[in-house]
Amino acid sequence: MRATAVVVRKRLFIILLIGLVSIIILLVRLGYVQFVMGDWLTNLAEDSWSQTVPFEAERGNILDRHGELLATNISAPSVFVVPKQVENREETAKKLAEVLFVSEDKAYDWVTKNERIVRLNPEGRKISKEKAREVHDLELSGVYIAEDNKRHYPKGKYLSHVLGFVGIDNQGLTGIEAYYDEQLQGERGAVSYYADAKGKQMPGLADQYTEPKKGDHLKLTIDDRVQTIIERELDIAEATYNPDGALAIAIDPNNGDILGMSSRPDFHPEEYLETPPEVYNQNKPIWSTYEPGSTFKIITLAAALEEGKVDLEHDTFHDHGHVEVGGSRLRCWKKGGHGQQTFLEVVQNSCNPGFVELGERLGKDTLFQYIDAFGFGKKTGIDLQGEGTGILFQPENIGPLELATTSFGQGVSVTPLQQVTAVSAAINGGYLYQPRIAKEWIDSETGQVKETYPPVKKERVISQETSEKVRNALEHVVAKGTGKGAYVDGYRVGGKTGTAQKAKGGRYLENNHIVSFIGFAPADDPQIVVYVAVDNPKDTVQFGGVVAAPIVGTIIEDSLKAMGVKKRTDGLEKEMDWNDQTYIEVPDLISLTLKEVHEAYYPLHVETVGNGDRIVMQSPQPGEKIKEGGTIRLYLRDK
Amino acid sequence: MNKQLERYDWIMITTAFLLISFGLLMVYSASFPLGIDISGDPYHFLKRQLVWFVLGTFLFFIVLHIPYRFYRKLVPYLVLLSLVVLVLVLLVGEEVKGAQRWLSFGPVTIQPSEFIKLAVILYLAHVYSNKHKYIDQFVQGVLPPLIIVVCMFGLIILQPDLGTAAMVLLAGGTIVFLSGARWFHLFILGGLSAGVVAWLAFETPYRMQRLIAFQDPFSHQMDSGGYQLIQAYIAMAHGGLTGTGLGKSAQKMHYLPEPHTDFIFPVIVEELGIFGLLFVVGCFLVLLWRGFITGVHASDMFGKLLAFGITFFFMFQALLNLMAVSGMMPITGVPLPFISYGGSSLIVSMISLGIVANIARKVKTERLRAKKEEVA
Repeated sequence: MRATAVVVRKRLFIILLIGLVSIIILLVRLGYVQFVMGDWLTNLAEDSWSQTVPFEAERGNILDRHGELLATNISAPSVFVVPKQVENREETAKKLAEVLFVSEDKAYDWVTKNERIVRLNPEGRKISKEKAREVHDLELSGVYIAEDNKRHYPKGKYLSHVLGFVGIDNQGLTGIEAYYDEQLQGERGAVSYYADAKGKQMPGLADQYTEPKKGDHLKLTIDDRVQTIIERELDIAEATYNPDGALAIAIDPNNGDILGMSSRPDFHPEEYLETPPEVYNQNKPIWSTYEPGSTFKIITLAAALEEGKVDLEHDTFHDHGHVEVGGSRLRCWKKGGHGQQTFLEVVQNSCNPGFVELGERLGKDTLFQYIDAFGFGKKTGIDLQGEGTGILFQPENIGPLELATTSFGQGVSVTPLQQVTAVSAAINGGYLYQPRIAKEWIDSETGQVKETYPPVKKERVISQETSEKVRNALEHVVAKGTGKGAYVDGYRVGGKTGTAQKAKGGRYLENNHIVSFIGFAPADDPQIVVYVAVDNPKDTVQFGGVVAAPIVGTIIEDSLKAMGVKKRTDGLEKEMDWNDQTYIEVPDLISLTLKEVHEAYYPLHVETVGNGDRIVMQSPQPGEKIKEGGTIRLYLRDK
Repeated sequence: MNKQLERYDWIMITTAFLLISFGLLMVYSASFPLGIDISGDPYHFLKRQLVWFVLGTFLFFIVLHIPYRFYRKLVPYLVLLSLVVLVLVLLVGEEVKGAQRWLSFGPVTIQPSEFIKLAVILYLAHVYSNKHKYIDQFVQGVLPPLIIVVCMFGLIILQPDLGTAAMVLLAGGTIVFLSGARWFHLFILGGLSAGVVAWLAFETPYRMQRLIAFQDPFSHQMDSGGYQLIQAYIAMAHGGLTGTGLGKSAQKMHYLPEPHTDFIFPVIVEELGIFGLLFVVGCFLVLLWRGFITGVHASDMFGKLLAFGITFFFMFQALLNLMAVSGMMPITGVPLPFISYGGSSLIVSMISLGIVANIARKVKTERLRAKKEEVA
């Protein structure tokens, strides 16, 4: 028999002790949860209670330099679903599917998704007002229509590569829209309210409304009038030559402002989903790289003049039609050569052996120093994505042959924009500018200018004097030489043709050329530089100056008129060689390649017979006299 | 008349009713969003709980006046009834969420296992106060009554309701412990019970989940246990020092599951802050104190074991509930006595309290009589 009373008392004490200790531990734990974990848990809670319905800010407009609207927004409502509020899921899914033209399965996924707010991607977003009304009229619980807007490009395909486009969430995806996305986008607003776990608003807690802040308007350097002209001319060129592509750039040489830029094939920014990516991703004026051809001779010319290696009027050069360099024979496009000529005539005639001579006089170090200074081999720094850099010979690989071909624009690869900025520097007094598209930001609330981007002058490349000489020489090219197609009466156009043989996999493609022309005007005070390139014009073989030069001439003439630039009276007279119904001697083109034909310039139209890259016969025969503007028939065969 | 009233332990009774009334208020506050959801009536749960409360009060005052020794005669019938009812539950019980725990009588549903807890305490208090003389012998003394308890445990496990079954074991264990069984025997029994409960828990994946979830709820968000616990934490943290104010809990808006039953405490803390917390814990401490005093002064062994058994059982239930909602114990589905919504639990709690109050009344009556004799 045990002393039970004592035992019971002891045990009571033990249980009591356990109980009290547990209570103390419990209180500590509760305090810990409540106060130590408190802040963190409260944040967690606010997140889980607050429902945020975002309001997209309206995107800022994009304008041309004079305020013409290039990109804006139009109202396009969006449908969204709050699944927890949907009463009859099957019914709702079925009706939505019918109106929005989606499968019932997809609609069912929408209405049953385990999210608070479901956006009906993409069929139910940014739909037409009529469609939105149809959805509204279904009177489905848990289905809402929200005010929304979508990007609109009032001018359609116009400037499409530069402007780019936006995605379904109004986020910039390419072009200016992507480059300046942040500032165009503005700031999102939102309504947040506290909701219970079923998505219903909790009583007694106030909504919080953050107003969306509209994005700023962006004014571009683009001149709508110039751009319109460019688009028109490229459309005509496409229709005429059925090329693989075409591009044009217009720039103000005095500050690097891009006045116009276009690329073919083009696309409608609002239909980018139906456009092959290679079309909208290739903003050719800044992206594509290819041999510049003869336009590059401007750089060689500028360098030689600046270094005092040549006196254009007094130094002479005899062209035999070819020159031997490092064991290779480099030919002039003119069979038999240009004979004895001044260096001004070398430039006028775009005579390759003459430029080889200039290159040799400069030496590889000096020539490549100038090439670098004019901005080749590196990005120009334009405010667009996807710029190419081009390829130059590595200094250690430059031998006499590389020096020779580089001096007339072969064996190097450059972007159109690099050519335009380099030529601008050559003719504007010697300053290399960084090309730019964005001019200034305008506050969308006040309409006031918020921020202006100043022109960026990068470096002085050549002197004022040299620049004047270059302008003069190039004016001669247009008035008297291979660039006659670009001549505009009264606007003193200067310029240079170029032909590039396209290369693929390290080999030149046969019968596949990019013909180009770069021109500027007026030569006494250049206001515009225009570059046009037509990629592989088909069903026609023309002298290069016939395809690209007239397009540049037209763009310059119409643009300067639109810009209000006065016509000059002191320009060079065009050498009259066809308007007078004069007869000219038919040149000997037999055994020339098509490339050389593109390089050449005669006031004659060409018809081709047969396929191939080399001319085996011609009609009329060399030496015969035919009327200016007459037709010469060339018989082609492969090499 | 005045002398009659003096016999009651007014502190115990007042505290209990204060706690129960507070419980009614909080059940209403915590359940109105759910009530609106279920039947469109914010008073849905309050109305039902009020009916139980009225019935409970009625029963409390009846029990208060039944001399507790009377139950010793009832014990055999109670045990038999308990076993029959538990079998009935398994046969014709109503199944809710995969568990067969309820018996329906028309509109009324009761959970018999709640009553079993009291029956076990009564039974063991009765048996061990008889066997007190040979309690240190295992086979004759400790073991035989436990066979009945094990049967009840088994029947509740079959429902299945491990939480309540474990509580039945705990109730039994408390009495065995207090009645003075040898430590050695206690260890065997304790070890055995713990082993069985643990085996049952680990054998079933969902129980296992809950066992693990409470230790690190944030990596078990997807499990109901982890989610529930996080929501409980959030509620308590949101309440902070002063609470959000009565009726202003955000977590009861369908975030916190079971806000009016097992998880009512977090709602209390959310709305009333530390005041709610201290009030509830304080009331329980007062009840513990009064129950303990009653047990100490009870003149017979049955009275002592009954008073201590019931009092400590309240304490354990409250502790288990509070520890579960604060993440110190697995969530076992133990309601907070006197407060959580649930008719069976409230009725049993009030009857149990009535029994203790009756023991207290007898203690006081005897004291008054002793005083009187002294005076005389």
